[in-house]
Amino acid sequence: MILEKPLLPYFEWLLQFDKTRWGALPHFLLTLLVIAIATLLLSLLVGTVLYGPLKAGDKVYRVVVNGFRELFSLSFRRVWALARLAIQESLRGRVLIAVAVFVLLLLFAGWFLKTEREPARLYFSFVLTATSFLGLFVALLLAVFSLPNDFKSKTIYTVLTKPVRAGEVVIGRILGFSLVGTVLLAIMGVCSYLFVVRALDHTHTVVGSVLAKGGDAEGNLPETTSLDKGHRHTIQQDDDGHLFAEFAHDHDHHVGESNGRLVVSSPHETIRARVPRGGTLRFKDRQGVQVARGVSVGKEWGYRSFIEGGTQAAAIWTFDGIDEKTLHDEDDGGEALRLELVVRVFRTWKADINTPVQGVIQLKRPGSDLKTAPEFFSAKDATIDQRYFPRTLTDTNNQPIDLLDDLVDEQGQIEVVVQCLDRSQYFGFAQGDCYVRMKEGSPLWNFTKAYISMWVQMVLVIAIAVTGSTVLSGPIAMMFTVSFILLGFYREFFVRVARGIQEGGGPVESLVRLVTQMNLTAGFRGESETTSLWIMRSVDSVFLGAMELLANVLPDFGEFNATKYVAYGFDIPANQIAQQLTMGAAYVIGLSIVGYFLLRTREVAK
Amino acid sequence: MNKRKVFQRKLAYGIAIAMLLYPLLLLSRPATVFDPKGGLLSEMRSAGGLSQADLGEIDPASATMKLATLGLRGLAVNLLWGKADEYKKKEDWSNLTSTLEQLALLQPNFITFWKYQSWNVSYNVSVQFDDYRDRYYYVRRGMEFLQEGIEKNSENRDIPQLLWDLGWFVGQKIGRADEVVQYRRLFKADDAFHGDDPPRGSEERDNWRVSKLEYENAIAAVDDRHKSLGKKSEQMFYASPSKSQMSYAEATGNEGKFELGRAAWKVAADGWKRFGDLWITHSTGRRLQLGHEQQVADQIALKEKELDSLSPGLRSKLLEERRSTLSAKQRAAIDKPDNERSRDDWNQAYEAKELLLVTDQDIVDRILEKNPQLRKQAGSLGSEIANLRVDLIYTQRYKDMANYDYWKLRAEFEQSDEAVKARQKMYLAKKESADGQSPIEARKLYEEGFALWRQVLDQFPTLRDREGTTGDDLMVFILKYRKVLDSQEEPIPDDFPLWDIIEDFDTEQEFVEEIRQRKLRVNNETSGVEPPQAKDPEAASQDDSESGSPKELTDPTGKSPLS
Amino acid sequence: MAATPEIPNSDKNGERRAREPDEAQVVVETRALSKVYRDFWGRQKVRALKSLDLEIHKGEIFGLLGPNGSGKTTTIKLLLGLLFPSEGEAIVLGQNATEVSKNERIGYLPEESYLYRFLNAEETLDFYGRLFNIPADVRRERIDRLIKLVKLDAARRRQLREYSKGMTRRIGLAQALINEPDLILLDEPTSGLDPIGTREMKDWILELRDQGKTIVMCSHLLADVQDVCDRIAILHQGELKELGRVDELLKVEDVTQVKARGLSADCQDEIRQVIERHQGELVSMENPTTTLEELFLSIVRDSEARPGRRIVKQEPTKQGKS
Repeated sequence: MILEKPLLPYFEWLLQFDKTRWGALPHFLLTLLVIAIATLLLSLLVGTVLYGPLKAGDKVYRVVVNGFRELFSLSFRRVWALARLAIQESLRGRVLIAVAVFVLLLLFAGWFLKTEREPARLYFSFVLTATSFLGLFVALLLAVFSLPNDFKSKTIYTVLTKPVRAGEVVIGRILGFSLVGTVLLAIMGVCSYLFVVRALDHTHTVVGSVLAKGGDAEGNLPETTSLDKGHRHTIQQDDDGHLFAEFAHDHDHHVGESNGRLVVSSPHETIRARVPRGGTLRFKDRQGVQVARGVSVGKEWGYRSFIEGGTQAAAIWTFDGIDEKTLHDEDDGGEALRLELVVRVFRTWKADINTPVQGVIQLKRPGSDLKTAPEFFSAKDATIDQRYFPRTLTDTNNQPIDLLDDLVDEQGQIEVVVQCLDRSQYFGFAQGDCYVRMKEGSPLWNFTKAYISMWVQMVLVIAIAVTGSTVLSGPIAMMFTVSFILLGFYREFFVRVARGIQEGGGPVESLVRLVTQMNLTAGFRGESETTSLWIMRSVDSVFLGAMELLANVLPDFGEFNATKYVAYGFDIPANQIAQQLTMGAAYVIGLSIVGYFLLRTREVAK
Repeated sequence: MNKRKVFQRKLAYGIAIAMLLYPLLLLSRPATVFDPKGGLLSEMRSAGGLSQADLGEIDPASATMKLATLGLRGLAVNLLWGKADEYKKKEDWSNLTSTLEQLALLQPNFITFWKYQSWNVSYNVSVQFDDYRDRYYYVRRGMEFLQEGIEKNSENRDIPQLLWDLGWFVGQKIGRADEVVQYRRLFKADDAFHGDDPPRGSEERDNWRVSKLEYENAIAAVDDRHKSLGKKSEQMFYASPSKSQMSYAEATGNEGKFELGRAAWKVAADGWKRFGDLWITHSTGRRLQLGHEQQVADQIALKEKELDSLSPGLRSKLLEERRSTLSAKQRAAIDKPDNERSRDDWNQAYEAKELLLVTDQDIVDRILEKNPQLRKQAGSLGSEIANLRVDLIYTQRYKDMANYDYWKLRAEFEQSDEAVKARQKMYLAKKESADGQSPIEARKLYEEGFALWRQVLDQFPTLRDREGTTGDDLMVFILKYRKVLDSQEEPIPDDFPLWDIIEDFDTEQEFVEEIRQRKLRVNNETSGVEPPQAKDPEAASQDDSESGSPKELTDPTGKSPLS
Repeated sequence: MAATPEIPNSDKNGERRAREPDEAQVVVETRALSKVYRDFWGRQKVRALKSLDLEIHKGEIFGLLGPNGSGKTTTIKLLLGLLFPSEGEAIVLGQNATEVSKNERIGYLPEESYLYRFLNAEETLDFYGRLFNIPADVRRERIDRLIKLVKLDAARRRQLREYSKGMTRRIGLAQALINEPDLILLDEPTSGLDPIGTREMKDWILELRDQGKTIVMCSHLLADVQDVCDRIAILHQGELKELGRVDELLKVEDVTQVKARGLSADCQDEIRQVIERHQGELVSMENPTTTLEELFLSIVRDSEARPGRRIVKQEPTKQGKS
């Protein structure tokens, strides 16, 4: 599975505070501080213009002091009353239509989905994306019009003339809409899961007579199953004489007997939740010298780097925390270390296309030369290859060694070394391409975790919508929130523009290029244009500065997307969920404070 | 606002609405069963072939998706294209294909989309996989994508493009790939692509046959349904089915089915002749028949005779006049025989030749001067001849582009017994040498085969033409033959019947050393000098097929270094 | 609360006069309170209130009078904290008007009923009760009492969007009283109500005053203000034009009014002569008219008691009692 940014351990993510990176908490506090100071200065400035410096200072002081006092005197009963109101308001509205639309979508999904080689991946992607969008959309609609409607119909008068703190109004609404959204997500989640399970469930028929027991298997075995859902399986027999339909399109089936006919079971393990434990990757170049990254073979995407075959080039992963619990109990009674490896093959010449490229994998003790005997494998390009290392192994001198005692060092680390054997062929690796497979996770729980991610995203959107709607009218608040969401999804692009890395320059330059139909990378020409160029660039630098500041506040919605985990069949690490929940909480707190101040300083009865 | 005013206003509105209804009806009345023409807009729509039913199959999913974008279809399409590129970059193939499916729903009538993305999948995505079965899957995926595009646009005028592309994919991508053997096999067994028709195991599942079918569909679209060819060159377009047929014949020959191949060559020859009879539109608008070059030349000769008959002896008289205008040097140069001319002489001769050229126009002009009463005839003859000459030149050019003569000859000779026998020998020899089991047998077969080939080449000397592919095909056989010889540690014998082929067609410079050695031997035999120590041909040409041996760079015989 | 007042502010069993406003406790105080509505660019648009100085004492019914646009509603909103003053300040119950915590003891009945239309009466009162942090049992009891008080028992489960104007005004009053406030602000309490509703509202206001609450109301219906208020302030174009007790303001100094019962025609002549003798001017001596309100109410009461066609009397009785 593709992991472009490695996941940091929780407390490191939260509390790190050094040159390379600031943790989430320091970042949050700093942002709050900066916003607070900026707002203070701005209000002082505006107030001075309107009322004169003394009065302005007095007002600002009072607002701040009141703010602190009121923020800490929140009553849960009031918050809950407002939340209940929000829920009742939503139920009276058209929330249920969203569910209806969703169910319709699912029913007609067949129009939009074609059969794929990896159906589980496609169905999960579709279902999770649809849920996420619909959930966001509904949450947005509910939350964004609520407060402005109150203002328009003046029902806010009867509320704000009660001893209700402005913070309670904001938090109450966020709470209320979140609850509605939660129920909505739950319903959609259940429907989605059932849909996927049902869609993946299929069977084949086998044309052929009963297998003569103990007789001449070869003659009577039917070759393949029927063509269902765009694929068929070849029938194989394993060593125990059991029949099974061979692995194709990401699953296999058992073949059993019933009433004298061969019956194909429903698919086996189509939905999985692998729990990987990752390691750190380093490379050796062809002379055996340690390097950080391997060779580039000219691919645009630099996620993987390559090692050359037939040389000393190697990819080495170091895994932590290997002990008894990491090993699995195997059928033959022993224990084994399960490793999964993804190899990306690059051939510089086709060689024999019928033979795959050969590689070799070994376990190694860190810091010493003790290695297992080389285990040869044929590289399956871009598919997950499962490898087993039993506890008792032999080393390069054919002496027996024990995995845990000899190969794992005192810190609990072990190294995995992979090399390519065929000359002029390359293997490509990234850090996430090799991992130790821990005990399987529950797919249902994994699915739920994906929904938790989505839930955090939704709550975030609600918080933004409510905060925006405290001072903006309905449609404007909607545009505001939608912009936030869009920028959040394209945050990476946004940051690249802000830092000047993205081709095409800032807003003004982009506009100029659009209008004059210039290329992204074309340079500006003409001596006479230097002044205008300078003006353009200066204005742009102001914008870019503002964008960089804004980027600190923008949430990265891409991070909340756990769809790919579920689609690829990987367990979402609890660490990631914790990080997302923390981020969500931080945003809700920050936005509530901002919303409080916005609402408080607003003249209700204009 | 009193009541009367309100009433008047309502009345005015009502009248205005009623009056507007009439032009509205004129404009946007829909076409129904009882009124097939409909209003003005409906007529324009059907005239331009713009309604969805005119463009292709109506697809409810597509219509739904388009509506669901709420007018932002262009934006959505842009985003999806960007995503598709992103997925291709990140090698996320299932997402890429599903994004393409979504795009197909949103812009089914944009032809370039189908062309580009099917090519993308078949050519770019397929090569990213290591296992050839995966590669074939994506090649086929791209072809199916193209088929989908054709279906969705079955009424659209650009459809010949897509059909032709499909023919190209099925033919070239499968038939000319490195993995041609495996791809052809997989294609023949591909039930998902062919379905029930043609049935399993039939010869019609051959990729070249299917390719030919698609090409013929494309031609039918242009001829019968009057679709436009777009920017495609006509001669390439109409030549394609026959070329596919010839590739089919070649392929069956290579697989050892000789009688089938011979029959296929016959079909190919017929098809090629029919192609020669077709009227092809030249880029200037002239219409040519590629197979009728000789007729055009004959016509020119006839017309020239007619012109000459108008004023007999005029031509030779003009020639004399011209000759008299030549300078002494030029005359001398022209009179000299070729091998005695110096460079200067050549220049002079060239200039002289130019001056001596008497064109038809000159004759016509002279007739006009001398015999004005024949002006009309001469003029018309002159312009006819000029026209025909232009036709001839264009025909020749197009024939060159299509390599018409070579393929005509090839189709013919491949049907001959000698050719079939020669190919049979080659095939058997390859089989024998394939497992390295019986090199002696293989060698014998090869040598018999090459003797037969010599016969064929002598019978059809134009096969040796550099423009044709026979020479290259023979080189492949010769290379294999040399491998067999190498295993027995023998060089290619001097009396090898196809040395001239080696000399002309050794594009990979595999045989430079051998040729040189042989030349030396031949020369020395004729001049009786001791040949120097013959270097081992094996050591001379390395296994490394990328470049020739570095030793040749410092070759003392002064042969030019490798380019 | 079906009272039968005859002439407002007169002795009614001697009780009304007994409760004098407590002069010492100032419930609402404004000092140079001004409000200027500015547009987006900060330019002045409207001077809604110009330097208002006001004191309202505990236990009195205070009326803000004035034509439309005089600043009455602005003042109420400033007192509630719905608007921020441009200059000056407003002190309510000892705290600045913009403080939220003062709202604990305040009730507000807005001009239109700004209540959530999708809730029913019980839910509305429950909601607002929760906003006051009133515990559940107390809340339930109060909701019951208030609904009965405003006579909405029959409609307590119906959504507010189905209420008539009178009903919404009543539920509005109920929500204003949910927290048993000390200060009640009413914005045009009787506008748009029919005579019965108006009478009821006035009776409630008086009843509330009798319970010791302070009431501030603003209205442009002069007759209702006259009936109910103890002190009034008259505003015009944002400025305070007149302030004082109603009875004092309305007193006509140099005219004496005598009302007597059972006077014969001779008696009336004698009185005329007495007045002449003392160089007084007889302005009028005739049968006084009762108010139309009383006629109306008596007819309605009659009609409810005895349905059917009413026998039209030629003249009303002198006493005005039925």
